[in-house]
Amino acid sequence: MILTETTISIIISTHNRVHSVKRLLDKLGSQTYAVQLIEVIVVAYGCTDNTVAMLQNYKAPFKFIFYEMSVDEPAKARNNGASLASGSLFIFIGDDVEPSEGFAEAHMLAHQNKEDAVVIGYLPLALAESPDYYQIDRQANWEERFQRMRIPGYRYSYKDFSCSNFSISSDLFKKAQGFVSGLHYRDDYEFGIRLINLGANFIFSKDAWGIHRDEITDIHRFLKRKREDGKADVRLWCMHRDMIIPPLQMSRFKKKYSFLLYKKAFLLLASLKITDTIASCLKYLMFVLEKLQLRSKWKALNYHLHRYWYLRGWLDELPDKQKMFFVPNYIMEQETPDVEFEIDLKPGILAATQKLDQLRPRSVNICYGKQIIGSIPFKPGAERINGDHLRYLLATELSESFMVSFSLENDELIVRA
Amino acid sequence: MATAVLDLDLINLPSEITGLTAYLKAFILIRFKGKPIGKITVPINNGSIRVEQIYPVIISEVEPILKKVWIKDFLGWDERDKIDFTYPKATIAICTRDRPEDLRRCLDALMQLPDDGQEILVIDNCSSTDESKKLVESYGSIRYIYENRPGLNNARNRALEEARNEIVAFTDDDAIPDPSWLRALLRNFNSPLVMCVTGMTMPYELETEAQEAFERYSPFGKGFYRKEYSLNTWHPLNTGKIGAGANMAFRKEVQNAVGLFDEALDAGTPTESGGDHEYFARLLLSGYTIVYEPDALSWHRHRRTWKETKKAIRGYGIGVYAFWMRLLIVEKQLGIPKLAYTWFIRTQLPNVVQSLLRRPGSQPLSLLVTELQGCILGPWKYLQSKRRIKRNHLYHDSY
Repeated sequence: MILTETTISIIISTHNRVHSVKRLLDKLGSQTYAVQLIEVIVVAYGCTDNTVAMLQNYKAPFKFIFYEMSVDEPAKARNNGASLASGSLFIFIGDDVEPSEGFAEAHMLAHQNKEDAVVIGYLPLALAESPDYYQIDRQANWEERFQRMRIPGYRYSYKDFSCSNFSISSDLFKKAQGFVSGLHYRDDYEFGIRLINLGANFIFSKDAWGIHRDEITDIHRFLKRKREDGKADVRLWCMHRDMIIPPLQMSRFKKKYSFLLYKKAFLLLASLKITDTIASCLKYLMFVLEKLQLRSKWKALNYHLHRYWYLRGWLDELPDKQKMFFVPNYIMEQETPDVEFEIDLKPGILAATQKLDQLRPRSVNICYGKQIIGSIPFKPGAERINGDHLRYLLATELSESFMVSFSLENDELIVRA
Repeated sequence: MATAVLDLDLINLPSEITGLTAYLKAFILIRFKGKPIGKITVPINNGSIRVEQIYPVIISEVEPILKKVWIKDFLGWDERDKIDFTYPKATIAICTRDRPEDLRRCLDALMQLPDDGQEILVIDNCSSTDESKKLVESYGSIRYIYENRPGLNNARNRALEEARNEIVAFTDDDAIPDPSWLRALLRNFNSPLVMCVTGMTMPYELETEAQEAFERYSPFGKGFYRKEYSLNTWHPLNTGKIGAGANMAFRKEVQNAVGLFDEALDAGTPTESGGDHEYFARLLLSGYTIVYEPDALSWHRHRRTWKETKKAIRGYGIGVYAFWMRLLIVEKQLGIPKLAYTWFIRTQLPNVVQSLLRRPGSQPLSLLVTELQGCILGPWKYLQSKRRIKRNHLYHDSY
């Protein structure tokens, strides 16, 4: 798509955050992009504070549309916002984001000359003046999520997609049929899966940044959220069984059922009230550990509590043992699809990358002449393979076998080559 | 007899290196296309080294890292070259005190850096003569600043304050940065959480036994692999392996993020060292990342005499315990006693035993004992340094 005269629709769904949304609107008034080409649509859903009154009286320098919904459902709010939008580019932004001045322009520029692009904007997390262990830990994980997308050849998956800062052409949004209702959490992941299935190209833009001013999430809220994530992942998995593996840290459970045989899981299934009480008490132990500056103990406890509440969310959705067995078994018994394509690197890396860019297979076998290097397997929920992915994997996971194949085929030591 | 220090690139190996009659051994830095990938020490026969004879030693030493470097070079891929990354501009700061000859060598080396718009700043920390000032003025483009509060950390703080660019890269006056040094440091400021990058430092000369002993005992080089240090990957109080003040760079905003360097630490105060490592610890504790980048190469002239070397090692012992004392009483880091105990039991004590038993490769007992003496003095020296600063502030306030 696009160009210089693109009309941009910025869609905001908000729920009881009057100060945040006011700050966001004020910032959108000072964009570097021509204000007459911007329209802002705010959908307030289930608000009980004075958000609605503020929005009704808001004097905006841009075209401003406000819509009120009584239902507390963010996905529906975003869809309603999109249905009111008239721009050819939609930017979705969270109500707790403070966008940079070049935010809209950077989103627009990132779409230039790119078909079916979905631009994921950078969202640095604002830290409190004296951050606690939880905030420091969260910031490191949060930042890592964005920084890995900046590595050349990174293979995007649905998990990289977030509703807080992304842009998409109105045509692609319509083609994807918007967000699904009924998922209070992980609705962004669900939308990401469908976009990947449609062959959308995910692009990360550092310049399309906005500061994520999450002023309400603390360790209590985050652990609650973990439980909701667990529930939402099960629902998501039920909707897209072939496309995702629930992030249950499955790699840690090497054998079938092993996580259910684990003592904690046994207790968990035996008496939820007891384990819930223990987990709730342990949460307060984290504050004691922080006071005593026992960081490694704090980290270990934090990790276990997160896992507990995540698994607890699973149990909310799959309340009996048989179903709990069924999910991991189903995942482990899934057959890996056959490799779609084979590529030889001997004619040159450039030729191989060009071929992959053209064919975009879901999986590929790689060889160098007669030597087999390895494969890039089908990855559920990840985008199709391109040339940059090949370079990335050859330089990292496949580097050793690539070196061996290269030296055997060239019949000499790499050093001398 | 002295050890020759040589620098060889695998892409351009000579068949023979001659003119080494004054040496019995050679310490060789091995590079691949300019990138340092390993070091070897080989004997010298009749004043020359035939490269084909040392080839197996080179390969066995550098093979694992060479594979990684070669493959990235072959593919034209590097994880450091993040999408959208533009190199930030830098200010190079040299803190100096009464060492005009060393300073000249350092500034000459900095003149060989490619011009990326960097600023060079010399902070003269209470030199007794104006030789350094005259020297700096002779270069024309270098800014000279006189810092009248003695102490290396005061000079570093002044550099952070005076720097006009986003990154402040520190080098010691007795170091000689490689032409690619600055770019290699800057390349790693590719994420907002990277607040500091340290580089690798190799010995500039090993002409005396004391210099050889120093290089064996306390090398500034921390290996040939790039490493990222953060709370998730490293014990934040154990910062000795992260790098050294002779070769490090920070974002200028670091002073807002974690405060200034502690003026009670490092050279020019009773604590003698430790200012850099204490600052690294503070950065890690605040959730920032420190990158160790071996491509950011600099050469350091170690102290030539035993007396100077022993003084330096004693100073390191004092510095470690002084900065741990600060972390304990100022930052309330209760893990310090355990760390001190572990260091003593797992490293210092076994080293002393090895040395007493005269095991091959063991460190000189005199240096080990000197360091232990420093360790014992460290906490008191920190308190003494704090008292001295307080007294000075009171003195200045009263006038």
